[in-house]
Formats: sequence, C-alpha cells, structure tokens
Amino acid sequence: MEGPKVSYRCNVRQYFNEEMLTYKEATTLSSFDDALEELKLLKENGKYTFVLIPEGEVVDPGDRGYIGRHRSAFLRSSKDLASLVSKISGVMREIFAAEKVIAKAWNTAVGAVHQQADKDSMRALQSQPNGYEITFTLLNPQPSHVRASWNIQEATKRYLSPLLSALHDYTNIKVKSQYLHSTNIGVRPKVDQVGGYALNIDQLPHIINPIEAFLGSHVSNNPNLNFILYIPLRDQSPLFIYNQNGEKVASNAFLSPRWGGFLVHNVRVEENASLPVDVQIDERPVMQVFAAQLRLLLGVSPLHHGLAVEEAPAGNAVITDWELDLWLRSHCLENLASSVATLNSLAQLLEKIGNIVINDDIGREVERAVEQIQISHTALSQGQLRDAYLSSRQAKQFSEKAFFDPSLLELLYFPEDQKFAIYIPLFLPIGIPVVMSVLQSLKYLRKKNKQKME
Amino acid sequence: DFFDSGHTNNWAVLVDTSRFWFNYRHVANVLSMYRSVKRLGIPDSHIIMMLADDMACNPRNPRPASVYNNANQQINVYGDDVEVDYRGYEVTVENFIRVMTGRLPESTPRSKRLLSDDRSNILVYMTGHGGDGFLKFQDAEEISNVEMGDAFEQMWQKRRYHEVLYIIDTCQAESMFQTFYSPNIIGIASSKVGEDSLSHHVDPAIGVYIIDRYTYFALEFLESVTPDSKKTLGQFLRVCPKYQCRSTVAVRTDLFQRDPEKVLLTDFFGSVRNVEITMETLSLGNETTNPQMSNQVCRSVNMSDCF
Amino acid sequence: MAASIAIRLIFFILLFGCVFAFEDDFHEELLVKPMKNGQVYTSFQFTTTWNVSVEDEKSFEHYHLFSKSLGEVLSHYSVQELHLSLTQGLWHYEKWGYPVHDAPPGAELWVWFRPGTENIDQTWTDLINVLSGMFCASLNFLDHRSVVTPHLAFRPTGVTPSHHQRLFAKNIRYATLPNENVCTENMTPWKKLLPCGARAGLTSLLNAYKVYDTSYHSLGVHFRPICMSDDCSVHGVELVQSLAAVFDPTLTSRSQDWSLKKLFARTMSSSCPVASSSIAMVDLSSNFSSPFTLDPLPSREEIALRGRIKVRYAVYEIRDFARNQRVFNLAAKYKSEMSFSANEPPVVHAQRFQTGYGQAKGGVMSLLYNHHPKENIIVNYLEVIPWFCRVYLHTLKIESFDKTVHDISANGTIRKPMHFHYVPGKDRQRPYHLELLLDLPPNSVTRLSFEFDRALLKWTEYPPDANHGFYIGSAVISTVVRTAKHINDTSESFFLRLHTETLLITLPTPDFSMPYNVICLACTVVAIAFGSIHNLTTRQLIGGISCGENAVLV
Repeated sequence: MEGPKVSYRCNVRQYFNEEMLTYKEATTLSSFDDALEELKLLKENGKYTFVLIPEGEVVDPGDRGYIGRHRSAFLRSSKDLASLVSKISGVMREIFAAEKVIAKAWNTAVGAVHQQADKDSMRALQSQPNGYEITFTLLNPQPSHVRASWNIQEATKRYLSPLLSALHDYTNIKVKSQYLHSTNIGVRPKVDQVGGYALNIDQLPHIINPIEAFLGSHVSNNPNLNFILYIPLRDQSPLFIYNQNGEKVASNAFLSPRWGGFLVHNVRVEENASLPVDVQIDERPVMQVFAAQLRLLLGVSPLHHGLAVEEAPAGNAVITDWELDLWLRSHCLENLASSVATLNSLAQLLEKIGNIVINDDIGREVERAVEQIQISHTALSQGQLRDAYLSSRQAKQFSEKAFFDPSLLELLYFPEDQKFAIYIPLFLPIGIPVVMSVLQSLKYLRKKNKQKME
Repeated sequence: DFFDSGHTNNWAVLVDTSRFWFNYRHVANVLSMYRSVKRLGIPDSHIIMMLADDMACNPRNPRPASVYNNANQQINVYGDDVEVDYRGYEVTVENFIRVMTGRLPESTPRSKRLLSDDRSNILVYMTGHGGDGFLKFQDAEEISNVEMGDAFEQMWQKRRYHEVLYIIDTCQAESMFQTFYSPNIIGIASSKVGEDSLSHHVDPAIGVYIIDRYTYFALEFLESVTPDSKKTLGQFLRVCPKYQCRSTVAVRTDLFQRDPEKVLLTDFFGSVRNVEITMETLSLGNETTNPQMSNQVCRSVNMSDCF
Repeated sequence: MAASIAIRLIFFILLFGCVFAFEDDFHEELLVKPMKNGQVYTSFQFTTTWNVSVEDEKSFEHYHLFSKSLGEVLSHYSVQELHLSLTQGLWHYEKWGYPVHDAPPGAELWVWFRPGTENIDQTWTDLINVLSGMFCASLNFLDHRSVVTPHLAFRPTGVTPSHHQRLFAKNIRYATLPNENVCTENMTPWKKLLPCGARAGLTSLLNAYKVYDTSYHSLGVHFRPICMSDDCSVHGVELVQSLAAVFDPTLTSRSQDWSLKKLFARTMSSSCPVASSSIAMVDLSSNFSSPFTLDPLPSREEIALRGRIKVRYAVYEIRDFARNQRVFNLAAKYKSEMSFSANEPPVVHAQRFQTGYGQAKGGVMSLLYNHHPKENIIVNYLEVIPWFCRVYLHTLKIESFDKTVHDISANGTIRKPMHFHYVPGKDRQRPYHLELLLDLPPNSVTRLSFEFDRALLKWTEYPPDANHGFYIGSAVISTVVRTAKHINDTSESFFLRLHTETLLITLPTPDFSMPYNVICLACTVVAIAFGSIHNLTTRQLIGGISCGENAVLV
C-alpha cells in the first residue's frame, strides 16, 4: 500500500470590507486573528487562509510570520514573490497539512515487520474509535499528615472543556477522578544537595508500577489515560524530579507514553501545625501540566518542522483549530490504514487456515467496512475532513468487529493420523469381505464372458 | 529518555494446564513465573494467569494460602498479593485461544482480556503434561502445536504483539514451537522432542513433587534479577544446562530479529516504562479574559461553562 | 451589561470561595466473640457511606472514599442493591449461634436492579462477567442455568424506589456457586476496595495466611441505598465489606487464651486516617461460663438489648491507642485452662441432607428446628435445585414432630405450606425453584422432603473432574424472630437468614478413559455382524445330495 498523496487547491482574493474594518480596529495580531475568525460564516475543517500584511503596519507579523489559533496564517507581504511563495508552501505543507506526520501515521498503522523505536508514534495513543477514558488521581499516601482535596470536577469543566467539546463529535472521552490513600510510589528518593529529596530520571520508570494496581476501569475496554497528582510523604518532602543533567525539572512532572502523566505537588507544612493539615490544591497550575501532557498523549504533538515561524500558543483553548484538523487528518488516515490492513489480514487468514467457518454477519460487517472506507476516501479527496473522519471511524469499528468476532474460532484441528486411526477399526474389517466379494464377482464375470465367447 | 527498545508495555500470559493435587508442581511453576514477573514490575492488569486448580487453599495443603517452590519453604511463590484471572474450569483450550487471538465474547471483563498492541512485548509461559505436538489441558482435552502456531499467526496479522518470548516446561516441549511461522517470536523449551522434563524434588510434608527442574533453576536465576538489571536474554537462554536439568533446553531463535545477547531480560520479564520529562506546560488563564472563547465552548450542555 | 458582569463575578467568587467538602464517610469495626467451646469468632466490617442517590449516574464519576472501580460497575449496570459473598466452610448454627452476615459455602450473589432497567437477563450476564474479573472468582458460571428470581426470600434491605413499584418487583436475580474456592486471590481485590491502605487500621490485621487457616471464613460485599436523613428525604448509598473467620486457638496451644497477635500474627499500631470511627468490640456473653480478663482495658462497656436478652460488649476506641502510640494487641486471659461447655442451640436452625441410593433416583430432606417454647415461627424456605436433578413435586412431604421425639422416620403431623411458589426447571435452561412459607410449631422439628431423578448428561457437559460429583446449593431460610442475640439493635423483632448445607451428588458418569477402547469394541462387533450377513447374502449356497457312501456335488 502506498502512502497518502496530498493535493492542494488554492485561490487568491482581495480583502472584504468587513475584514478591512477589523484590520483597522485591531491592535494585536491575536485579536485580529480572533476577529477575522468571528467574521467567517462557515468554519470548515481543511480550509486555511493566508493573510498578507504590508510592512510597517500595526499588526505586522514580522519577518518570520505568525500562525494564529484558528485556521489563518499571517505573513508580511513583500516584492520577492519567490520567497513569499516558498514560505506559504512551507507553512502549508509542514504545519497545516503536515505531510510528514500524516505519512508516518499511515505507515505505522499499516504495520512493518519490525517496528523501530520512534518517540512520536510511540507516545500518543493509537486511534481508538470507541473513545478514551481520562482519570485524575490524587495520590496521598499519608492522609494523617496532609488532608488534601481538589475540586477536580470543576477544574476539568473549566480548563478541559474546550478540548473535550472540540473532540466531542469525533470521539467519546469520559473524565473521572478518584483519591488514592492506600498505595505509594515504588521508589525511595535520595537526598539532594539543597536539603530536599530527589527523584532521578532512572528511578522514574519504576514509580508507576505499584500504583497501577489501583487504576483502571472494569466497565470499559477503552484505553485509560491516568494523570496522577502525588503528595510526597512527610519525611520525603520537598520532592523534586531531576533530569539527566542533574537539573531540577521546572514542571516537576513526567509522562509515560500511552499511559499518562505524573506530577509531584509539594505541600509546605508549618513546623508545629496540628496534623492533619487541610490543604486545598489550586487546580490551575496542576491543570496546566496535565493539559500539556494530555495534548501530547492524544496526539496533538508538537511538529518538528524546521521553519522559522511564530505559532500562537493554544492557551485556554487547549487545542487550536488547525491542530484539530491535523489530528482529524492523521487519525482518519490511521483508521483507514488499519481498517485496510485488518481486512487484508482477515482475508489472508481465512485462506491460510482452512477450518474457520465464516458467518453471514461477518460478511456484512466486511461489506459495511469497505463501503465506509470508500466514502472516506472520496470525502478526503474533496477535502471534507469531518465526514472523512467519521466514515473512517466507522470503517475501523466494522473491520475490528469482523476480525474479532468470537465465532471465528478454528478448534476442529484433527491431525491426519488421528482421523485415520478412528476410521480404520470400522472400515478395515468391513472392507475386507466387501473387497473379497468384489474380486470374486469380477472373476465370475470374466469366466462368464469367456464362456460366452466360446 | 528510554525509547531504545521499541516496546512501550509488557504483558504476561501464564498458563497452568493441570488439575489435581499430584500436579502441585505445575501450579508452583506458574506461580514462580508470576512472582518473578510481578516483582520485576509488570502490574496485575497486564498479567493473565490461568490456574486450573487451587493448591494454596486446597484442604490437603498443610500450609494454607501458600505454595512453596522448595521443601525447605524458602520462597512462598503464592504470596499475599495475587490475582488469578482464569481459575478452575475456566482454563480450557478454547479460552486460551480466545485470549491470545482476542476473539472473546462481548461481556468478557477487562482483566481477562489481552489488550496488547503493536508495541507490546508478551511473555507466554505454559506448563503441564505434554507430548509430541500437543499439550494436555486438565486431563480432558489437548491443544496441538498447529493450533498454537495459528494462534500466534492471528496475533501477528492484527499486530497484537511487538515481540513474544514463549517458554514451555513440559515433556517433549520443543515440539510445541516447531510449527511457529510468525516473526518476532523466541521460544524456549525445557526438553527436546523425545525427552521428558523432570521434576525437581518431593516435599515429604505434602507428598508430591513441588516444582519442575527447569522452572526451579529459572526461578533461581530470576531471583537475582532486579528491575533495573542489565542481564540479557542470552544469559537466560543458558539457564539449566543438561547436568542440572537432565533434559536439554531447546531454543528457537530463527524467527527473532534481534540478537538475544543484546536483549535485556527486563524487556520481557519486567515493565520498564519509557518516561519523558514534561518540559512545556500550557498556559491557562482565567476564563473571563477570553470572551470569544464562548463561541467555541458553548456547545456543552451546562450554561455555567459559558461564563 | 453591568449586571451580567456582576453576576459573573459573584459566580466566580462563589466557585473559588467554597471549600470542597467531602460527602462520604468510612467506619471500620471489629467484633470478637469468644465462644463457649473455645473457638473465637471474629467479624470485620468496613462501611463506606456516600451522600449520592443511586439513581444519579453523574455523581458516579468522581470518587473520594468510595471505591471507583466498584462504583463504576454499580452505576453502569444500574444496580440498586448488590450482595456478594465468598465463603469457605459451613457455619454451624447449633454450636455458634447466628453470624453477623450469613453466607452459604461457595459464592452467592443476589442483585436488585433499578426500576426501568432494560433486559435484566442480559444485564445480569454482563454484571456477573465483570464481577468475575473484579473478584477473581468464577462468577461467570452463574448463567441462565442457575439463576432464579426469588419470590419472597430476598427482599431489598435498603431503600426501595417510591415510584415504579411494579417495574421493580421482578428485578431481582439470585444464584449460587457452591463449589467455588476462596483464597488469597479473592481477598486481594476485596482489599483494594478499602480506602485505607493495608498498613493502617483494621486492614493491617488481615493476614491471609492466618485467615485462610480457619474452618470457616467468609468475604462479603454488600451495597444498598440508605436514608441519609431522619425523614428519608435525602438518599445515600452504603457499601459494607465484611470478613468473618472462626478461629480455633485451642488446636495449637494448651490454653484457651487468645490475642489478636496469636490469631492474626499481626498487631495494629496506627488507625486508619480517613476513618471517622474505628472500634473493636468483644462480646462478653461467654464470660459467665468461662471467665476471662481483657488486656488492655476497654474504653467503655455497652449493653445491647435485643428483644429480652442483654448482651454486654467491651468497646475499644482504636484511635485513642494509636494516638498514644501504643500497639493495640487485644488479649484475653482465661482463669482456668480449657473450660468448655456446650452452646445452647439458637431459636431456629436447620439441617439438610441427601436420601436415597443408586444413580437413578435420589432425594433431599431438610429438618427445620424451632426451639422457641411458646411461639410459632413462620419461615420462608427457598430451594434451588439444578436442572439435572429432576424434581418430582408430588413427592413433597412436610411433617412436624415434637422436639423430644427422636425417631423422625416415623409419621408426624402433616402440614401444608401457607404459601407455595414453584417454577419447574427446564433441561439446560433453568433450575427448579421451590419457595414455601411454612409455619413451624413451637418446640418442634419439621421434616421437609422430596425426590428427584438423576439425569445423564451429554459427554461435553461433564467437568474435567467429573467423578467428584455435582453440587446442589444451600437452601435459604428467612424468618423474623422475636428474640435473638444480635448486635446493636434495640427493636423487638429481627430478620434472620439461614443457609443449610450444600449437597454433593453423584450423577451417572461415563468412563472417560476408554473412548478408543469403546470404538474398537463397537467396531469389532459391527464388523463381525456385517461379515456374517455379507457372507450369507452374497454367496450362493448350493446344496449337495448324498447318495450312499459317495457324496456327489451337483
């Protein structure tokens, strides 16, 4: 299967009057960007705008250019058309369409014989048609020391709802939370130079394992992303994470690919305070870390493009519009690649292993999957990203259902010699007299023929 | 960063196929592997253990809730933090193949499913009574090596594993992996075709053999491995030479892409997770400073979200 | 405009201003009851109450003390009440009285589903599969072949929904697995549901090596909705996790003395920090016949009045001990070595056994005892017989005898049940379900018996150890009694549930080691028969005439 081929359609136009008005009112590039977005009647996935602004204006994007939070990029117009065009095509191909990223998504989903270690494809969760679960855990192994509480329900509503509602139509994300008092991290931190405690980078991989026993959901098979806020023990406070160069990590957090994130939250307790101390955790700094980790784990990862261009940070929106498009595009291709691979392997399997019986239901699922793949292909080629993604999701669901149908079980393997051994005791004794009498009757017929001839 | 090995998670499928008190040693075998794998970090949610009979709380066990690998009661391999996923009558050939291929009925709970992906390293350990080309399940049915090979091929087609380490401790164990044809599998058997795997010793207090030779020496080797150990798979392949095991340990490496001497043992027995330090955080302000956010956000049901 | 900003600001301040108050509570208690025959009954009870309504699915997403894994399951499968017990051993009522939570040997699960649940049978199947994964028990075998809908026996113990009464009435399912093993692998996930770790509070005493070295041990999970206010306008939910064990310290030592360290091989040095109360109680009823002294001295003594019987308890507040950093090792020292006496049997108890011989027919007989001198006791008797014991209802006989009569094979007074509910079983589809409402006269023994036929199963339906036999689950006897020894309840009458013994029956079992021999034997017979018939039918038989000495063939 070859990789995806991307084609572009573009047109050039003058500004509209309303756009000119907003331009005149705008004071900063980001407010101009937001105002332009408001003017759009239709916010379509897959359509991008490049705004060329003359030099020296209030909202001059500068030499490098600026990519807004929606689907627009702002470039300084110049007489040098060649460099302008190359900049536009660079931004389009590396950032908005991110051809390399989607090609990689396709290739990994198709599957190679031996996968090499690759950070980006290993970090994010694979595309899951049924959705994800996100669990926030407050891990407080010593509740007699610190009685910590956080209003995580409100915090997720306030800070994560832009992301959740942006992805709401495309995937099903459930957010849950819990407190854990009954376990601790699996490593013992060492004392560091400044009187605190240190977790080195080679201790980090072993932290999660004892906690894992208390995580996980019994009601769904969807992948679970766990975000743990850890309050260190009284005699291990304050606790900091150090990187491989021996420096303190500013965020005091790390993430584990395809699993979740871990953040250490140090609580200052006065010397002679009465235990347990009631602590209300400020959710904003915590959510800043978790939201950044969530972006990486869901696949809204930073692009490694070499272009010198300024990108507007996602901020409160947690995911920008063009990042959402990129997510849709790469996940759509991932779904399509894996559906095609699944159907191919189903066909191959049924050829190789002759004993499997296929029901009509499975045939129908396969037909439906193929239909959805074709719909998705056509939608993609017309740039209708949303429909393409939804069809690809259905295609993946149908193909997985067909492949993993419980009835496809070939247990009736009988080795040849066993089959032989079972039939011989019956057919051999019965066969002998039959064969003898057949021979006899042949002899008789021959004799009769000879007699006739004579 | 620890992204060298190409796998992100570890699974273990440990199967004991024999029932009845005189097969105590098979349960002790599996529990020895369980103990090692758990000690080296694989969590219970990633271990599928099938025990065909209960030895620990068996009325014949003079030391309830414990299964020892040694007559001197050196190591209690059952422990006090154990979870068994398939027990008793649930250990059947059909259930085993369903777990491996993923074709389980809808209502199967998560802890009984092998939810591995293309980046999972799986350790499969089987023990019981076996023969040339088959393994007996509970003295009532058998699984043949052809079915085993087909099951792995089905896993490979759907990319349900990155690499597999297949260990089998039965009589004539080598025959079980002679029919494998999928890539990235390395197989270790405790005996060659035509040989019997022998048990280690009898515990006079119980009256039965309590562990098999290969697993006894493998456990001894694994006890010296720590979660951050650098011991290699090549060293593990040389455990239990002929003078200790009395049967020849057979190994099949032709389907495996890497050199076993360069593969860390914890790639299969442990669960060393990759970690990545979080360098950047998202800057989240107060919601009211972004009035135009409400256009995007107000698709949610609660009005209180759209301040 | 200004007003809306003001409203927004107020909203903001309110949100930031309110401190998050938790709505759940955790209590732990331990009851130790030394019995007159030297055995010690210990019962742990861990109760989590949570101020959310069981119908509110949205609240079952954010958890504090209530276990998230269990909460998700209960909410997702629309469970109103759930009672699960995993027990090994038989509770001897005549010797030990009544336990705190009654449980039959093996696994027992009964669930009330919320009104309006669609397709309860499918929900039950999904729920048992999830629970089997959660508790490492083979609960997935409780499928349609062993589940019944009890008529009167298992009424809800918590708050029932006020509306949709008719939709709710049949939402119960009950099934048992009498041959289920219970071991540490069941205790591990059960412990994970507790909010406190294994190192603090009463959970630190739960040592699997000692608890499973007993003749009776039982794990329980009980979930029900409760009233949170006196007028029951606010509902909450309550989760009770119980563990009971009956120890026998006299088996390994010369004296009757016991202590927590001797029983559990562990002591407590801290109390659970998230528990709002943590107490241990010792039942002092046996102090009259075999007196003992307790060390340390109890925090206080309480008297519980049950009906007309006073029970004295020595109560310990564990947190006081933990605060003073003392190790809490409750010990009892007996004045005299080994002074045993027999316990008097409780008011109602029962026995059940098999009758008959051979592998074609069999019978079940139950003896229900009523030791009350004056009062009739009405009991509900529930029997669930698996389909392979085909019950003949016309053989049901109920007779009463005076307690002093020893020969119960004679004829007694025939009694008719006050109410009768019978659902006949169907092969491979449902079991036989018999429920009776019986009136037991005072000071009597009632004998209930019926007969069944043993079925010959299909070859694939036999388990791998087919010669072990097949189990019939316990019969359940539910009643309300006027006087009974129980804990902390001052009402006049108490609900009581008893379970009888399970029965192990042998069905006609083929010899599985002989399939190939059978094939050869059968084939030989067929071949001989075929050979002879073939010869007879295909050879021409020509008769010969003998003339004198020379035989001539024509």
